[in-house]
Amino acid sequence: MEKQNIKTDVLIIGGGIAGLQAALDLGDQGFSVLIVEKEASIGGRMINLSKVFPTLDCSSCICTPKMAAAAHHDKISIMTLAQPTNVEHQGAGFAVTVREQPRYLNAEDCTGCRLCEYACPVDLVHEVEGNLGARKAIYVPFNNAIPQVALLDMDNCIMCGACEKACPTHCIDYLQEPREHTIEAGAIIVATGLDLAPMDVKAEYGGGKLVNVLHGLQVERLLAPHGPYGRVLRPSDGKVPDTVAYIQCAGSRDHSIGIPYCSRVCCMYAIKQAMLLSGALPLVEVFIYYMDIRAFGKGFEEFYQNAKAMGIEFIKAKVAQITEDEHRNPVLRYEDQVTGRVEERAHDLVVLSQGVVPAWDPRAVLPVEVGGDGFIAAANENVAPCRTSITGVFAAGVATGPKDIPDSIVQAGAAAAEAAAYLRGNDKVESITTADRPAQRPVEVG
Amino acid sequence: MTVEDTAKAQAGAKSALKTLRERRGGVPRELLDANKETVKTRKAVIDALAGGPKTALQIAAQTGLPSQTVFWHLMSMKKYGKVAEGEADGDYFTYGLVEEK
Repeated sequence: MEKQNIKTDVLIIGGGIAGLQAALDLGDQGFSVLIVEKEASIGGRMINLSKVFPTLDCSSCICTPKMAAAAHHDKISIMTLAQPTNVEHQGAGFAVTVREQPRYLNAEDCTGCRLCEYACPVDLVHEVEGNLGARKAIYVPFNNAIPQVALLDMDNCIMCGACEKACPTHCIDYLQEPREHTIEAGAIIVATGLDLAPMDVKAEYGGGKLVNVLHGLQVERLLAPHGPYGRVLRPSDGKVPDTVAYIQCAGSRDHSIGIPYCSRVCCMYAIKQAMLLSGALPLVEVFIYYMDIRAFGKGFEEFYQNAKAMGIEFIKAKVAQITEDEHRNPVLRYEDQVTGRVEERAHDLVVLSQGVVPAWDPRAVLPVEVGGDGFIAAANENVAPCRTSITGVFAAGVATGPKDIPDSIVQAGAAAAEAAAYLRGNDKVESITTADRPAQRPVEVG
Repeated sequence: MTVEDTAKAQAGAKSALKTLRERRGGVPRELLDANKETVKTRKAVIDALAGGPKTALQIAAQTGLPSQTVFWHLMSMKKYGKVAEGEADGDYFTYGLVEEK
């Protein structure tokens, strides 16, 4: 295996919006930054959202410039398809082993023209589209992916050679191997983001087997301009849905599935999606089944009231069961908490507000303290929310707990400031010099 | 790239592909079977569209394939320019074959 040594001031694990913001804040101060991202593109979850709440601004219009700024920054390097496999203390810094998976092509020569993709005969489910759309065995991950470079899914390649024949720069390298890098970093920021609780976590909600029961991130793709269908349709037969139901707290605030906490974003993204659905499908009826609406942020309550004024129907009820009728319409059985009656109602499409869970458990690689909920524990939640139990390792975004995009960005800025102060204090800066190197203040506990 | 460079690159790729096939012990059986099934389904959908644009439900009824499978194939073909969305028929859009240029 090819090995390479890289020195950097800060290693950022995760290239989503939090990792990008931390990288830009550090890079702009002159620190060298390396982002390692496990996916083939930076941008994380945000780049695949439709719009953001409560402003309804286009998500990729906010995220893409940050991705481009990081990719073109003199001080920021990006490694995709890469994950840390080991972290060791080295002096006042760290030696991090990173494994980079092959793309099976020379990225420098790939122009992102996608001729290989059009030539590939293998059709596969596209993970980026929430498994709703299709991709080929060789593909550019999505339209605004950075880097705009293809990758070959070797597990599903039938080795027909069509991609190589179609490639105008002959950049395909079928024999590429994984590479291992040793990163010498003065500080680390963990910004590994979120996953959703699996759809099969609740058997009473169909156990993930009902085709017209989706999760919120899938609906983000249906609502996105370059989504899998190009418009909002349901997956069982392509019907334009007449009624859509949201089930809140479907995978949160539920001890039975091990996710007792509130995921903080579901109320608002359900309301946002309901508004966007009403805009995309003027005749659609949208119902939100909820326990209580948590509209706690700036502009959130007004957003909620606007949704009600638009005719989105809020039903205070906890859904007990979802089944399916002969037309594959999901049928909800619920107790209406206002009337006290047990009701059944069929919808064309149902969306589960699945709980937010951490995307990465760092402990096998980087033994920072993790809370009972699986999120990285702060050294002190009140006074040092970005510091972890390991000095020199900081955390930002959903890696430390569920939060929305603005909160993730704020915390990323804070983690960058903490990392910068730490580096200056420990004389670990290689790329900039300063006469003023304050020592890191101790964390005040209690 | 000159004609010579192209020929050299193609010969290199051919040899690499041969080495790859040897390393993987040929194409895995389950991959071939899955691909065969996809090709068969795709052909059935294309044949059903030969008579003109149809909805996923109409194609499913004609071919006996599950409507979910038909719709996924239609969306894949739409993405790669093989079919285009047509008029709506009630709550369903029709899809028609795109003529190869």
